[in-house]
Amino acid sequence: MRSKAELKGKPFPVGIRGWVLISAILVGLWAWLYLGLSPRQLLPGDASSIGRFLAAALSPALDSQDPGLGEAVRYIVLQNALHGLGRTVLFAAASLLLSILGGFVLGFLATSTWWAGDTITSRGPLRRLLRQVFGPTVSATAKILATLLRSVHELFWALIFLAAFGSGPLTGVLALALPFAGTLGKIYAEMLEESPSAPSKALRDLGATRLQVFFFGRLPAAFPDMMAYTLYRFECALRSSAVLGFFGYPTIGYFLKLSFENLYYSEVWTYLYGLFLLIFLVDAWSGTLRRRLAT
Amino acid sequence: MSADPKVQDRIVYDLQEVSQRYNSTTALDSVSLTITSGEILAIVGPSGSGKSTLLRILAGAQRPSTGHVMIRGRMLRDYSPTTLRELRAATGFIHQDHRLVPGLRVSQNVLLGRLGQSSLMASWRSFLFPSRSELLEAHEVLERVGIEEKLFERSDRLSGGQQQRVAIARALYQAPCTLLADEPIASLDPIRSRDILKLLTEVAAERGLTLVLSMHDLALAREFCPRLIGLRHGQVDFDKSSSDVTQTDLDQLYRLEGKERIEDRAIQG
Amino acid sequence: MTALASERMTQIEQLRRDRPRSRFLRWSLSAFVLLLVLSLFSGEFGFEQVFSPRRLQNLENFLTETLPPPIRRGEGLAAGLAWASDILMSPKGFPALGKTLAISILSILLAFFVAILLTPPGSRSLACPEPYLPGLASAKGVRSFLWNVCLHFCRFFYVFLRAIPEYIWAFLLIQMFGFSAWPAILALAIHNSGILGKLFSETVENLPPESTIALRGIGAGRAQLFWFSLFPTGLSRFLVYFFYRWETCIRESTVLGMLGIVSLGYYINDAQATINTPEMLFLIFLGSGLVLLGDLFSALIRYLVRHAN
Repeated sequence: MRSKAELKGKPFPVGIRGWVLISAILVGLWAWLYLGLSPRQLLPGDASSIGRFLAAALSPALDSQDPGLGEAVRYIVLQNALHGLGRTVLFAAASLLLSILGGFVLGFLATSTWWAGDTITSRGPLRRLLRQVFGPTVSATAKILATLLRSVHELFWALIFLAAFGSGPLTGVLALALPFAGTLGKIYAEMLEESPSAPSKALRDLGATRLQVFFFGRLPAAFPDMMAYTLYRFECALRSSAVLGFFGYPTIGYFLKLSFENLYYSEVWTYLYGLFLLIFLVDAWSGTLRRRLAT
Repeated sequence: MSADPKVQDRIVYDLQEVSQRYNSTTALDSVSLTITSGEILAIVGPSGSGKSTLLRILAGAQRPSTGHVMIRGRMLRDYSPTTLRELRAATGFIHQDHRLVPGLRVSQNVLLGRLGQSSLMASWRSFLFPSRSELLEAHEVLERVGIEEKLFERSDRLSGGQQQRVAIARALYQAPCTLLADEPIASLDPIRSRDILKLLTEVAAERGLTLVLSMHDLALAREFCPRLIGLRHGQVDFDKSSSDVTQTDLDQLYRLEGKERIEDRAIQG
Repeated sequence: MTALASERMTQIEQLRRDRPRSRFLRWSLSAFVLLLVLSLFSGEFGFEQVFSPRRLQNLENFLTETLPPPIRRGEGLAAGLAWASDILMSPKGFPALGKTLAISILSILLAFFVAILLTPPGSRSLACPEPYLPGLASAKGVRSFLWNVCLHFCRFFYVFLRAIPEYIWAFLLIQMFGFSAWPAILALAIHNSGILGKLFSETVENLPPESTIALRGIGAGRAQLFWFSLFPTGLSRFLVYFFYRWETCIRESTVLGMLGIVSLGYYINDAQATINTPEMLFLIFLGSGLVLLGDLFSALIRYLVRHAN
């Protein structure tokens, strides 16, 4: 209990959390002024087109709204949606596979506990150099590389690859895979480092080499967490691969953008509903799976 | 020690004036002892008396600050990484907290016992696709510790006593010459403690293993181990056959002094 | 094989058949792995085309154009630095970075506000007829049904909010509100309030209930329970999530500029459209610097908040 005198000086004690909240709101005020925002900007410019867009939510289209095409090809929008969603899944899956491989290698190199080994076998000058200089250097380099890969957004990677190679599905996959590999590498390394170390020490005591300790001690202990996180990243990959369509890759975003620019709002809603359904199903499935993995 | 050449051949561990210091604290203070092949003995003493350090040195997991450690006729400092791996592969180590790899099945945990004897590829093979003979052997050691029906269960779903049994089975699967057990019963209730001790001593006798246990419980140690070594403040207090250990020895071993005593009063009062 | 061994083998086979396993888990994981592997070899992504002569020519052009013009012309490092500082001082540099930062801050604040309001009706422990009265819990009756509807509606709403990517939200909102910063802020806020809402609700459900039960015992209502017990107890975790999501907001708000909102992405897109590769790379590099700084700052605050008490 604080004494009365102490409380007198501080009528309302504010902890660190309180200060964080207050300064966040102050910084928010700065941001508001800096951007020169005013609520008036929220008044829609063209009210009727917004009305038409929102009204179209109730009548998603299966056939094309293009009068020239509408009756000629039945269910073209539905077909496009299925194709687009299929490609969205393919892009996400392919890039996730690449990023799992890359992330695993990065995570493996970045796991500092692996390099530490134990003191008794690392006595020669060469081994000491390996343990004290080479190991930490590799581990830090891998961590920095993972952070750098992650700090560039996948759409910027896509821009860079477009400039370097020209368009093509593989460049899109690579653009997604690089930042995802960085994220996975960072998180894998954290999970491997935080996994209980006692079982690994026991394996060391019965004569296992460093690599054996890593694969049969650390990895199995961290595996359920790593798996759960990878499933979560699959959801993110689906969203990112949908957006990649805006850059000309044949995922759902491509069709969405095209229809919107032609003002075919009912088509837009079909694609939106499709994307929502896909994410919803994957979310429900991976949520159940993650709960099962956790127990 | 004994000049008899036969005994000389059978010496597994020979420690002379072994001390271990960590920064300012002394864990072991010039300990000398010999252990011959097939002996079953317990190291007893209060917490912090250096029992764990001593066992880790015997296991080849740690080098002492000073003193000579001879294991199987070779000085510990002369072990190369390769021969050290062989030494560890031939030494079973059982911990208080069993230290099984969580998330793996019992069979996988048992098969990990031979990591020290196999290459990385071979251990991947037996981890993913265990052969018939490997499964047969694993089943056999699990039967010896009495839980063969748990062969394919997840090891982290077992009870504490069962997990300790799996750890013993893993050590048996390893087919070691020596079994070291650091406080194997510290987290078990009295009945299970007795079971585990009985199991360990019987198995060691059956297979002619050298068994070194460390523990708190003097009554149990006297009951199961023919030889007791009392450790106090890192020094050997007594080293006798259990029938020769007197009540004074034991009182001496566990007496409180100075600050400890005052703290103890404070708790009681 | 001896009779004993074969008897043992049949026992082992029996144990293997009876081993505890989850069919759902096994099928799901196998299907997932199969999907990943097959996708790469679906014929959709040709490897051979990467190294076609045209592409290699492309790559060569790209690599020669990467260096800043003054350095390419051999005018030395000083000229290169002058080039860089010119960009930094122009509207493409610090002002764009500031706007990107401001958008991320406003959007995460808005998301936090919305998520906090959605949390009580979206938490299982509050959205029930008798919250925090363990003895009185009953799963039947109209009131219980209505609360269940409310709970699942909120949960569904979270998924709806976060299912559509920020970029698509922003794309749609721009058509409604024009090119102010609002579409970016709203898009980020919508997506993140879905994510924060889910995380906050789970946090509230997992908080130790003792103090809330005590408050309930003296007759507090749902709002009082939330604001005077659950909110203060969970605040540390809320703030940790808040800063985690802020990091991703910075990342995303640089990108949203590509739709025409004046953040860093706008100038990056511009540089790409005018094939000014060195400037594009430099601006992307600036953006990743901002993201890294944000990560560092957020890690520091999260550390402080975690160790506050």
